[in-house]
Amino acid sequence: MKIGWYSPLDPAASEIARYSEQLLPYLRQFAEVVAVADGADGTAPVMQMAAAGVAALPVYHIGNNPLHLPIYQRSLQEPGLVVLHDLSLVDLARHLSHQLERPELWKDMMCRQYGDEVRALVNRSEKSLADYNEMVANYPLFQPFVAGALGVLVHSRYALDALQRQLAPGTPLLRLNLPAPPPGEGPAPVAVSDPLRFVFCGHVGPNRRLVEFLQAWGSLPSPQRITLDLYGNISSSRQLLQHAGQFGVQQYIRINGYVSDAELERALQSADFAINLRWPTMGEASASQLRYWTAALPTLVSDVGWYAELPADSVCRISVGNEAGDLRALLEDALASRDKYRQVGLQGQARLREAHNPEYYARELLAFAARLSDGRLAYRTLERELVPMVASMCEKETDTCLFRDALETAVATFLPERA
Amino acid sequence: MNVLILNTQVPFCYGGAEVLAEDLQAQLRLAGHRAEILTLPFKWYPQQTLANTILASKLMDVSNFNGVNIDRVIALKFPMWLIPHPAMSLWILHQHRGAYDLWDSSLSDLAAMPDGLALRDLIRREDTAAIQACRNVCTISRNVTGRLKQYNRIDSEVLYPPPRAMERFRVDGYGDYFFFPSRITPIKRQELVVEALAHVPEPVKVVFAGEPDSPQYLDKLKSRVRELGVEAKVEWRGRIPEEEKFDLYAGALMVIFTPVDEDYGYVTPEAMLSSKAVLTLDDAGGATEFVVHEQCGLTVPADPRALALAISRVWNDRQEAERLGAAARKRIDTIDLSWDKILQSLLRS
Repeated sequence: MKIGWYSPLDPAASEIARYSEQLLPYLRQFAEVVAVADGADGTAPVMQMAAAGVAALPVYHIGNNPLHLPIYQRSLQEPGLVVLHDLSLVDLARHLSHQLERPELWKDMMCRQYGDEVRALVNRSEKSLADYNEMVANYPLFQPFVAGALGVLVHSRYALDALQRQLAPGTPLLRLNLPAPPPGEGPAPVAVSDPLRFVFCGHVGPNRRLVEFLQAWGSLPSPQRITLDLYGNISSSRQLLQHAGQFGVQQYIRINGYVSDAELERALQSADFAINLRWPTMGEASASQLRYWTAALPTLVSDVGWYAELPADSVCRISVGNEAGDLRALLEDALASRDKYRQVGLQGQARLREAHNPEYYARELLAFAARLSDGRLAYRTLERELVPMVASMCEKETDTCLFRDALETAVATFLPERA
Repeated sequence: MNVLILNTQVPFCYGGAEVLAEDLQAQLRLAGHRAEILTLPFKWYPQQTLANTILASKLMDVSNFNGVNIDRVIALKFPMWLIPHPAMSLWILHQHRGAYDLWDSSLSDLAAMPDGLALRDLIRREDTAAIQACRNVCTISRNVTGRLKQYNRIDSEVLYPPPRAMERFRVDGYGDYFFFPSRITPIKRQELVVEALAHVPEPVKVVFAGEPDSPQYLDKLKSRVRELGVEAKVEWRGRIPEEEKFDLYAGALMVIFTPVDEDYGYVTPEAMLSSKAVLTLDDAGGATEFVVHEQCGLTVPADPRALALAISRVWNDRQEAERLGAAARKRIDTIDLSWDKILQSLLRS
């Protein structure tokens, strides 16, 4: 099996690049893989490794980071396996609109997927955070980004269900748990004392619910019993600290920014709790969550999307409807019953070891890729040639019966096993 | 009988397949049948065009036209036998060789296509099903029959196509040139003959007649001739009229024919009808079905030095050329090249 792996490859720039870095050695145990960061300029090595009559199967990684734009554009030229890292790709669509200097493009994409009835909401979403949240939560934009897909791999049932609802029946779909290197045997749990050390990694955005966390924290009778370390791109730290000041917790927060992987690992090992809230979710499976589990950290997650699918004993779910109440109750309980939550972290770590094995992921991905590669000619002929041609000749759905024989012959020819 | 001859068409290309279809049509008409040639365009690249062509063929309906029933169809080339008809006979010139014997060679453009392997398997699958369903399965040579057996496990009858205007081939003598009539193209291996001439000390001459597939390839050959310093031994006639072809056969010392695994090759029977022995290669395919080494021609390995030795030998021994040529004529007279037999087999119920 030969694979062209189109993914960001600088682990400092993207979690998906880090995922690729960790996974590629496993894939290369079973397949020949050429990894390409730039779908526009980097295709030559993929082309060169074709075997007689079998081109390498492209695997396109699509997420909201603008690094994925040339990968998406490449995926339209040559069909392949799309790994959908986010379900709601509205941010990528906006980057695309900007790049193409067509500001309305992303809105048109939304309307093509959901009909013109969403246009008003889409327009309002530019000015209102509540409308933006509603759009992302209820109308995840993904259809245009899987248009060139022979099959789609997702990392959650949440994404799988959405794809099954909206893509053509029979579209090959696969769900696998996001992989992570198996955790080592960490240090034995230690008895903890005040303060309860929380940690947060990643980009701070409104959907990360940090302000809501600070508010709940500030409402505690003894907020000094908690500290918070922030890592990653904390671009809006001033605003965040203003909120913290407003809730009386500013002095317990430390902003660390970007640190090396090793330093972050040490920080996670010495923390007691992680914050990984999302609402709305973009439909992602969280690589950060897997890091927290590696460090056996109990984690606050929102009860939505992929996070809602996690076993109840491995994370601490916070409902969206009663977020403030849940957060406060949980913080109080965590301060009172630390051992209980330490167990949650250990359950998470066990879950990571059992269900997120990268070798298993690599094998399953390659088996899926092989299946898609086998069906590529049929896809190209039926989906890309025949169906659009027939559709272009049919004014009404009933007109398609004129082509029933042709379609049946085509299926029997190119998919004999299905006939 | 209303008979349709199904052939492919590559615009601006005219060769043995077209000659054969026209001759078959003429012979059917002479025998009292109504016969038409029906062609479909055949373009084998890119892969999607080839895939679409396969599908298009399967969707054709040639059962009757304007109330006139088609009693028999005779398909000559891929993918024409994929067109459904209840009374189809085959006279297979060749299959889509890139999907079969040429798959592992550098000559298969299928192997360079992104999904070439899937397309190859599709072609094999469809061919096997369609050919098995045919009434009479015939081919133009033992070579084609052998491939059909090897790759599709289907038996077939060999019907050698008679050269057009057979009665006009004659012998005028054994002159001072070797004659190589064929399209100028790598698969005919004129280049090998040019290379061989560099190893021939005698002042021999080879007359090449035929149109180049591409001017670039002919330029390359001419350039190689200059590099080897064999200009005096080579003459390029290009495409020649039929009359000139008969004359060149009639006066040649011997005919050279060096294709890569040729399906049949009119050149061999034409040479033999002109009482000319054929110098060919042991991997030349159809030609080797006619040439019996040392009896009515020479068969040597595909190597310039081996070819050079044979050319020198015949050049230096004209009597040998004459002896082999006369035996060639005798041999071709023993092979049944009659249209009667062909029509009988193809129209059999």
